[in-house]
Amino acid sequence: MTDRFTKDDIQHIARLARLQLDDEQIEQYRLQLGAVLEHVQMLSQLDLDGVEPLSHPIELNNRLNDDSPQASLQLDDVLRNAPQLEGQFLAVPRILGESEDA
Amino acid sequence: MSLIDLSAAELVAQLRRGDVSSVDVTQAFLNRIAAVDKTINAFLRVDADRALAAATKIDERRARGDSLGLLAGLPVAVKDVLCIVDEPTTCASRMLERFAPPYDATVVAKLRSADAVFIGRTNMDEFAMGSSGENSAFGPTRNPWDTERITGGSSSGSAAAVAARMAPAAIGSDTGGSIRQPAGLCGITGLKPTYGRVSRYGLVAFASSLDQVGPMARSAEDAALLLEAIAGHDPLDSTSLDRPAEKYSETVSRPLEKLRLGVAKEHFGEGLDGEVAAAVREAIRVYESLGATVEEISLPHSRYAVATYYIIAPCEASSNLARYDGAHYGHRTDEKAMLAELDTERKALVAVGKKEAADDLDSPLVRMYRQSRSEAFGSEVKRRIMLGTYALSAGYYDAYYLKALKVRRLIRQDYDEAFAKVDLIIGPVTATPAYKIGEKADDPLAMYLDDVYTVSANLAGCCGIAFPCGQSTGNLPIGIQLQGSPLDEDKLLRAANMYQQTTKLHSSTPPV
Repeated sequence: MTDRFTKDDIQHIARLARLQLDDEQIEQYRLQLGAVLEHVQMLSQLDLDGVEPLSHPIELNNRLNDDSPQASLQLDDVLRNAPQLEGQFLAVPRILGESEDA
Repeated sequence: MSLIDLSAAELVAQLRRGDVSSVDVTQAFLNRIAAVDKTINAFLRVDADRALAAATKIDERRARGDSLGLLAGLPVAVKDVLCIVDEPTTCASRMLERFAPPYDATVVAKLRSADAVFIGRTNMDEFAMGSSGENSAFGPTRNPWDTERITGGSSSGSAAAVAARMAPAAIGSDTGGSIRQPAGLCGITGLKPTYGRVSRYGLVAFASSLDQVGPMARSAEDAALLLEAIAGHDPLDSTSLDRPAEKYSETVSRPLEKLRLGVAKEHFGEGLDGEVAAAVREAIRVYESLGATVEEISLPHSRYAVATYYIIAPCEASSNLARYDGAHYGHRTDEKAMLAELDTERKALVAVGKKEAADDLDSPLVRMYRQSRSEAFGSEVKRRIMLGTYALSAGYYDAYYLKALKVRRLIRQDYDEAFAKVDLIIGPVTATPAYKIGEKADDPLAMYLDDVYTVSANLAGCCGIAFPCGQSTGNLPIGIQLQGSPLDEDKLLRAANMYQQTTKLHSSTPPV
């Protein structure tokens, strides 16, 4: 039950999830996620042919708002929480000129 | 009797009559917080000056004869998952430690227009993920009945604040039991409304198809008052139901006639503690003595509910929490150190001839994302992001997420069939009373399995209420749960009130 995932699997998931884990965490999640998915395996006992998936508890319909202008949040108020700004832009590490991430 | 011993409904009545001032009431609860919260850790922040200033304003308006809102002058504690404009809203996470939203959640705006006084922000499991209250970046909340034990979660601080009489009422949120479970373990009354009954606008998202905001209080009567203030349609939340709020506070005292209760045999199976089972069965007898009929029903897919929930909720969480990228708001890693580290890694790989691996390293932007998120999220939040990311990743979507959505349909159908026969389903809310802090810290699956009685209502979109029905031999509260059909909050509250008026079991107070 503990061998559902390899260390590389966990590294791969962490990369997809934009998380960075140390060796101890990788081993911990390897075992814990394995145990949770072992439990989840019980869903395979059910015959689900022809069952419609239910993604939401209420029937959702598109709702259109009136096409009338309304006050929105002020840019300064919204940007106040940004960790790093350049003028009115969010600043991030350099993207161009580096090798692209896989 | 001191002011902190009075119910929210009684306080509102006394405030309305002018028997007490909001300043006096607010000060009494602030004093109580100062006296006991060092031990309990229910509050993340209390701004006494701001609360007293708000109370003073309401007293002044009352003195002038202005018309006031439903909760005028009543202190209310708010879980730190709802946005209050320009006040920190942290979700008990390092990620949002310095985040102050530029707007009010609709529930907060409604509480403001009801003239409630915000007394403080309550502790919780980080991003509402957890069933124990231990997963807060700011320390666990302790159960007022036994401070060595958990409160339950994720609305840990709201439950403990109400139980320890640090607030007459509080707001919680419930994604898989986060209102009902801590209510049960702390001996208070907590209601999870029907999905869409209360606006989610300004509620920090965990799992958007499951999240609901609801009241936590000392009685059904008090919960009714609070629910009336926060329920209703909100154009800012397209999933909110287009129905006006009902007058729950006026109807709660009317007993239900010919109440039909369903008892699901699946709720009394393996794992249920003997004392809890006995207390719940005794409560069922109380209902029978009040004229209710009891019928055995079956929820055949309830044993699959935890497995279904722990796919769907983490999938939605992994998507929702992708917004924490270190760029828009929230924690960002030290960029200089991050770039230097990346450079060192690259040079080390090149030096040993591993050029391919060096090229495969994160770009600075991706490393910024990863490092910011890893520094600021706690281990339970990371665990759920990992779980959801895996279940949604290429090749696994059908095997996990799609399958879980199909089982969700079957769980919903079980409820539809049950509610064709009975008005409400009665059963346990937790399998055992509160356990010791740390007991399940290394076994997340064991913690997840604790949610067995509560997650189904969220998956199906039903409403549920938990309240005390006895005590264990260790003097810990035992809770009971009633579940109702969508929009049957009124029935839940009236049924709970019938029981509370008869047994008075809800009025026990913890030793703290």
